[in-house]
Amino acid sequence: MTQMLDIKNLHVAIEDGTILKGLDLKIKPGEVHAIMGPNGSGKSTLAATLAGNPAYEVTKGKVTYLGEDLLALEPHERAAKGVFLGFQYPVEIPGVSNLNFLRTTLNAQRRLRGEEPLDGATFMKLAREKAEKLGVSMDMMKRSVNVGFSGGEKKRNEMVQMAVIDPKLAILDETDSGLDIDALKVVSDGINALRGADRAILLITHYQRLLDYVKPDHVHVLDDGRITRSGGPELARELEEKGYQAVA
Amino acid sequence: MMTQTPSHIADFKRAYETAGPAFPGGKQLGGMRDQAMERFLSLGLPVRKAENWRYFDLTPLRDQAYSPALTLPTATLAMIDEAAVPGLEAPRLVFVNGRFSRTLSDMDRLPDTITCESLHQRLLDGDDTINRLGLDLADGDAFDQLNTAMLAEGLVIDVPDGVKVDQPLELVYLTSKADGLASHLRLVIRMGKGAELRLAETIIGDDSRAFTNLITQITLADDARLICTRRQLEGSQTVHVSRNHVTLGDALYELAQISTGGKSARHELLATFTSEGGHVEYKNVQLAGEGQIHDTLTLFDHAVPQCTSMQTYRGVLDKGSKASFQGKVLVRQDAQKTDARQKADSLILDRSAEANAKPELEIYADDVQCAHGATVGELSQDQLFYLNSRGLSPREAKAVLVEAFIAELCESVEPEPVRNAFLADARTWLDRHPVKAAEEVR
Ligand SMILES: Nc1ncnc2c1ncn2[C@@H]1O[C@H](COP(=O)(O)OP(=O)(O)O)[C@@H](O)[C@H]1O
Ligand SMILES: [Mg+2]
Repeated sequence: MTQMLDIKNLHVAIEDGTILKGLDLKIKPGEVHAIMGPNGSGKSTLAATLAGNPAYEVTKGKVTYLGEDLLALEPHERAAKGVFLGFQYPVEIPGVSNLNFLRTTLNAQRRLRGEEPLDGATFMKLAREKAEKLGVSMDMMKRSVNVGFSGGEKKRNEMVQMAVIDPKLAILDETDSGLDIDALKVVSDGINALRGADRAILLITHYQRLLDYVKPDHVHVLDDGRITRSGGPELARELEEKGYQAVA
Repeated sequence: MMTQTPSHIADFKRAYETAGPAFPGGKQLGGMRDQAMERFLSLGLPVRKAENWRYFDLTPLRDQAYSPALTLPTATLAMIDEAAVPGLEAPRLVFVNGRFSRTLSDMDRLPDTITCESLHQRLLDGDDTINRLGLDLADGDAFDQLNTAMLAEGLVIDVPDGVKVDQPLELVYLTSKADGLASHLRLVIRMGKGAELRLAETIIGDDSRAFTNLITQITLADDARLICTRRQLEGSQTVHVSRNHVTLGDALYELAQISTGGKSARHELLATFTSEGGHVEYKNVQLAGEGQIHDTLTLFDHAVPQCTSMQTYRGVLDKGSKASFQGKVLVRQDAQKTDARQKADSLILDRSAEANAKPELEIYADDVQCAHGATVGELSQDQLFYLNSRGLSPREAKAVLVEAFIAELCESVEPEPVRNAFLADARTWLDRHPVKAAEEVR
């Protein structure tokens, strides 16, 4: 089967130095992968690089997404082709309502794909349905993006965006952190709802907890900018029991 | 020692002498004009060294001669329709190239409870009340003097005691195909006790190298309310200087403004409080593009106790533009319980832009609340990337953030058609700005 995402020997640097030092990862459509690793190991760097954050410079390596050179695309082009990044720290945007933000971004993606924009009524129906599933009130949808939201609310809000945008490849950077157990279930349901034969999910997490709800096909350990071990779901449990140090 | 008159001053003098015979009004007015011209000649245009003018650029006024239109210019109704606020149900008063156009104005739709007449007509009629309007701004600067010397066009609006006008009046000023044109306009608005009026102004033009010098004199008696909106959308080669002199009692004056036009564009609001309980509210959104210089200057004279004022300024500066906010609040010794607030925030879209904010509080009373704040910021890289990662191009992302920056101010504007016009004006500007960076042009 062809790969959805194929990362080869990826090196990424920021101003202060090299963070990813030869990372390889292949993800097939339909799969859920989890990347675990200690703080500072480069998990968010990988996520940001895949989404095209200009602060991260690829110094070596190649990333192919659906047969295309992902690194040659602008961030918004990547989004339109189905790449979604759930931020570890979602950004606040005062003065832009959640609904307006969602509609503007969704329609921008559709336009880039040569599709008709969604009309107001259709969009509202979609947004309402998805927000409700994730326990985000319409009142919150009318408020400025993430402004005054708790950590957990911000994460749910990311999931509403994901559900509305309906991406092919979702990269979720610590979407589980800061969630209480009820919220974790709701968010997990949201992630599971996205699973499908032509989609893939890359879960970045610190804890095994999320993986009880969203069963990964593959688990990888990231340490010092490289994947040092890969395995099945049992690897996550082993990590939880023995700690990164012993496993990696 | 002989000093030579600078050529631009001579140009203004020549314009005055040429237009002179066509100016309306009798001998007495002629005397006032001559004196004003004398004062202009000795004052000259303000220089950079003058504190209030340090951020501005009057070079375009020195580089070329500007004179009033001697014949009545023509414009089509379609041009005015396009300029006016869409959907605003209001009688229109129209100026084209600095001349009042009776045919394009809705004189017969004006509310009959007020008097509203073109200044030109009042001067032609030899109206002997005209002297009492305070048209002579003897203490004023060069722009006041020029405006007085060339006094010919404008409006006189009187809203009698107790008259509340529901329907707004719409003022449209259009400049078209008018290189070298000077529009010296004078509005006199007198609000009686308890009178109420709304004005919606649109000042618009093409790329003519023109000069607009608009002076508005407003007086409000106790309990009067005057709510004004102004869209300044002149072309990028026009010099715009507008000045509102407001004197108010226990009354309310509001001005909400959006400004995208003009090469050098300057807005002044000078307010004097004359009895307790007065409130002035000023909101100004300025969007400046390459080569434009925008100045906002306010002077609020809290001369009596218990008055309040609120100024909110939002400036957006694209590459190679300059904008300033100079806001002075003077609280005199007697003016206890004054509450004066000022907030000026600027957003620069490129490091080559220059934003200046100079809030100035001069306070001689001890029991007052005065606050001012000024910020200059850039777009946040985190916000831009967040929007990009969700599918917005760099340009679209910038537009969303700029709109968010000014949205709050625009959205507070009433009535709704004017609010929508403000938002549409901002979007029109955003369609052209920020100017494309080289890598985006591809
Ligand atoms: N934008 C940045 N600026 C400076 N340092 C950064 C930046 N992003 C990441 N780093 C540094 O790179 C390393 C990896 O960070 P990150 O990818 O966020 O790790 P993780 O998500 O695994 O905790 C850390 O040492 C972190 O401090
Ligand atoms: Mg991280």
